[in-house]
Amino acid sequence: MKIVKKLALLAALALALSPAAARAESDAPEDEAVYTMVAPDGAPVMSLAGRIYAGDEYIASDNRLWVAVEVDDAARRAVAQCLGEEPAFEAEAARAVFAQADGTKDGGKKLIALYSTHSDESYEKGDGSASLEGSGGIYDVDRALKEELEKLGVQVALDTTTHLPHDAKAYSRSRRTAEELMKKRPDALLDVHRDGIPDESEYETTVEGEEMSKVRLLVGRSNPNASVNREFAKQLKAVADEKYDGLVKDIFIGKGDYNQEISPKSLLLEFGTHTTDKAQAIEATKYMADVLNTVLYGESASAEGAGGSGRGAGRAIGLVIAVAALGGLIYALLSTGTLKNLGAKLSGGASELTGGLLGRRGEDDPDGEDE
Amino acid sequence: MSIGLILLVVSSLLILFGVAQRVLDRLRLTDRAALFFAALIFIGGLLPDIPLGPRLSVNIGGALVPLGLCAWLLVKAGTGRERVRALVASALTGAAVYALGRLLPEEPEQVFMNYNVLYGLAGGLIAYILGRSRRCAFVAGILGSIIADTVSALAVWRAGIGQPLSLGGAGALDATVIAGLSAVLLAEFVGEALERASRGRRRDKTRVFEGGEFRERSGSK
Repeated sequence: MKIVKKLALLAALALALSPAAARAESDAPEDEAVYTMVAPDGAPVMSLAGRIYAGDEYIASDNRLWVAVEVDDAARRAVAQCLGEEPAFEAEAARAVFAQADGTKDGGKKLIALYSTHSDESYEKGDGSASLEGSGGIYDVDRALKEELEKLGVQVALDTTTHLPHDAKAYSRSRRTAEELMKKRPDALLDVHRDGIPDESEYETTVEGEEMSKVRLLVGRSNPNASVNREFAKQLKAVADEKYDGLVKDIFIGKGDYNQEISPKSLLLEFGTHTTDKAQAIEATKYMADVLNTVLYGESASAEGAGGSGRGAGRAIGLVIAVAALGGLIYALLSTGTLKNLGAKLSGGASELTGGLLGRRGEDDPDGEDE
Repeated sequence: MSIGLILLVVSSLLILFGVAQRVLDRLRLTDRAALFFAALIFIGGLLPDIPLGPRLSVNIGGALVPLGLCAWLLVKAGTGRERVRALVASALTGAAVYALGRLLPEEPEQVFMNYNVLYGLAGGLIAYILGRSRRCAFVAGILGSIIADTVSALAVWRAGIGQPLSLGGAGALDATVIAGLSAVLLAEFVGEALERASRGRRRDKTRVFEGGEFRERSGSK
């Protein structure tokens, strides 16, 4: 009877997974779910190849900050409120904040790490298909970005390890590549992608008379580094807006971590979409390389103003500690049962740690494990 | 790197280290052994992978140490039945993790929680249903994750793509380690919550916690 019960529970678990299976069937790269963010009056704000959740934020090209407040998953439509202009990052301050204060400018190593989680991502114009397993066109964009950065004197660690198949475990696989790259202590860790929205015109731009694709910056808000990553993205946008207006499309701050907890200076960059001409995505790397170089190594780098990233880091540390403390409290309550027992246990622990100076050691100190 | 960023990285690592130590402590390990294994996982994760072939390598902290711990837990398992249960739970978890990887939407923002923890929860749930055991949950989380990675790699290799497989390659932050630890946490939370709900605040007088496991109190049935 017991075995039957267990089998029934396991079968229920398998059944619970089946809706995910059904949904995934419609998620082929060519048929990727595209959500639209709209203003309360219905005016379109942006579209995204992926799901939008309430609470997701979006910094538009004009720096207005939108927050999704209501999502209709059936219609793939998110209504967003405009919270006004996101506090702008002065381009001059941006250069200073993320510029290395450890003498990089005086001959120190400049190093940026690049990889691509979705190894199959390709461009219909240039590769012939939106997805090529084994030889994705996205690696041509990686290589072009590497070359452009190297022309500016930046060393680049490009890891072309593939992370196939393009499924939910791709980020677990690419985390290994990202961790390997972090051992080289890069100044920034960039995951290069292309978008999946069908309308190529959303990514078309002209910078200095050259036609190229725009670049979207993506920050995962479910990661302890989110506020620092967000500052980094804003600084890239501020410098790009000043030097090459129209190059950076926008910043999306969505649910998920995208392995960005690995480094405070990690970002996901979308060079065009699958319908963009690959040559235009490659053209954009030249300008993006200059923006990265300016923000990370500065034209007038100084340690002044480093409080910006410090503030972001401070918030992140607070968040990490708060989550850990809350988890610890729940756990402690579960394992001791009552607030009184918890107090006695804490008091006993404090007494043990301070040699009796603080707290009181319980008479019949239970080890708590059978409590 | 600014002081703030350094503090952020250090505090995150310390908390992860603390969680790992506390979780390992719930297995059949003493405090000191749990600390030792947590340290091995963290330090081993920073060392270069050990190559096992042209395409296969294994990370010391991310896979070798957790695998060693699994082997030890299996050897020390009280009964042959417990061993079989742990292995069956591992195979089922491997299948579940592989299926989750294939079937869930590919973008992390499309799922309500972190994928790596989700794989661990699958392991924890299956292990809990099969055996209500934290040790079984840990073994299922680790082995299940490795089985799923291997099956995935075999499918890619069969398609003629020479993609490397680095087991536990992200060290302490690898899906394998996170799956193992979160599986134990789930078994712990569910177990504690259910047991507390069923017996209220009464203490279990019939059992005593000794040497990292529960034993029947002498004199009780």
